[in-house]
Amino acid sequence: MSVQYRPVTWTRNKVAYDLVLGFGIAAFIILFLRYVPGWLESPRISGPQLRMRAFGTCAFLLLTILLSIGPLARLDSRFLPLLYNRRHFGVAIFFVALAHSLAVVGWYQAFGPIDRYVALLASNTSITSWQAFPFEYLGIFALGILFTLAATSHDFWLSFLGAPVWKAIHMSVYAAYAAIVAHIALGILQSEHSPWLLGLTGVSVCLVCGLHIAAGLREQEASVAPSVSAPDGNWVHAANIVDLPDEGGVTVFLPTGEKAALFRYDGKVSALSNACAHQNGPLAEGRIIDGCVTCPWHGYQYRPEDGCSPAPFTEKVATYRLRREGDRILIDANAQPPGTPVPPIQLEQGG
Amino acid sequence: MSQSSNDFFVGYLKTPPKLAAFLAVVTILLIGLGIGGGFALLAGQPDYGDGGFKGGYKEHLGVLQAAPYPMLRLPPDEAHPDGRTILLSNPGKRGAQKRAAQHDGKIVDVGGVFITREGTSLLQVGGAAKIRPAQEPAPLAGFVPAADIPLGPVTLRGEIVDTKCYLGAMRPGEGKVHRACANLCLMGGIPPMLAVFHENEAPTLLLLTNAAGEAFDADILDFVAPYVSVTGDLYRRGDLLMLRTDASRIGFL
Repeated sequence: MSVQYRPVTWTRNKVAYDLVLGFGIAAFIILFLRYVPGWLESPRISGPQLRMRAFGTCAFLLLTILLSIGPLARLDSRFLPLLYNRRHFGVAIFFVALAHSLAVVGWYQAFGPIDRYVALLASNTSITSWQAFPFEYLGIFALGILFTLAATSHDFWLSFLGAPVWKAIHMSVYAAYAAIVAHIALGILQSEHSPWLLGLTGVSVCLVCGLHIAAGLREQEASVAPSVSAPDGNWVHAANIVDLPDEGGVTVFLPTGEKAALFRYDGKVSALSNACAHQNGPLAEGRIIDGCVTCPWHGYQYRPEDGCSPAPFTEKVATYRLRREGDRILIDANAQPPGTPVPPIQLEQGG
Repeated sequence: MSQSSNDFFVGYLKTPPKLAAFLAVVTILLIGLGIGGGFALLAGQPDYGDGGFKGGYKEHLGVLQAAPYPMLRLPPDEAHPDGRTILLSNPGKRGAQKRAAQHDGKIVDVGGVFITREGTSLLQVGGAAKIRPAQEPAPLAGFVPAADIPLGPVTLRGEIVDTKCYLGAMRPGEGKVHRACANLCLMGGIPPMLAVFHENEAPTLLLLTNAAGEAFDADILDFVAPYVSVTGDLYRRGDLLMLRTDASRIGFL
């Protein structure tokens, strides 16, 4: 959390994350370029082409891992730390993909009769033929998306554009991934029939699609809370008191399509919007730390009674009215405006 | 989701030890799998042949023919009983047309370096001589290069390549990933060839021209890289096979 915009607000975890990321990328590139060609029987490939392959393969593998982190974290919360600094991961992918592009432009498009950047668009224009399709266009499209995401990754842009627009822009990473898979399929897979190439591409697609489907199926298992009509609100069943984890949250699926996060803490129960004001992180999967609901994605905090971040922070989320009915908690499906104080249910006093 | 306070991660707090151990294992696995994937890709690469710049700079005496593409004609010798035909190019992705035009039909010295793959060569013009009127033309006095010999109609399957990259200026200098580069070479005047592949022996390379035996126009760019079937009339010029065809007689396989 931050009250001012800095290029990076470093923490011990961020330093460790970036060091590991940098080490992994450097190790891959150095081994691919410098050592492996000597260990294996020489494939008799030129240096510039080897560089294109090293950076291209690295970017594709990194994007596969990046897109797997989200659903993995949905399926097992132990992967959440990988999500924490995912934007640095995305920026790193852009630079690796850029290195791949510059290697291509600096070799395949250079030394010719026309400018190398014009040549990139003009040297192959057979867009109606799948055999000859200019797969470079797909790579340019994907690189454009990766650049846009990297350039707008900072929290300043999240705040400036607003969470819905920022989120919509960043969901285009899936379009970039689809374009890169097509770039590979219409490019190198058409000219080289290595089972390794096809296998790695297939594994990547299966992993990304499979993990997203698995995470989606788990979400679908939850059912919308049954409605209990009352004149003073749209009250629905939220949870049985006995099922509420101490200092933890429960997700409530409301008939409005929204989700609420129900928290039990200090013998009380409060409900907030499940979507963190920062990046829509699932607050119900967070914890109560220092008396505040703490988002599992980036540690943003909100007071459970009014949905406001503690000073000096200014984030706010919607709150929900609660009512106790015997051994269960009911919730008004109509959210209160962000930051509205709502008295918590006092469990010890019998509501 | 159940979560004990021992494994809840907050970025600005110390990572719980149990979670840190899990993350260390995952990180090592991810880096290992990524690098393993890179190894597999390198191991799975095909061999792009032994083509490359070979033999160093040398000067060659011959008769220059500018059409359909610049080439040097040499009289028959023991190794080349039909005479020798050497295709020429400039450095980079450029043909030698401009440099050759003024010397068409004349005896010249051509300096350069051979780009050679599996016995087939192209001469990249350069060095001190480039293309100049022969300083000692006497050995070729009276030599008239033989006319093209027609060998009949054929239909062949293979890949259309730019001669320079395919013979070793780039590795790989063929295939779909190289298509844009090959097109730039052809646009710059490098001669196009059809590579017909055989099992267990070097491919046969045929210079491609239009139906009139002149340089191919831009239509050929649509057919470079994917496997194609080409119908045309086969000719031989010295030791060089030439296939006269047009875009309407080329089709993707």
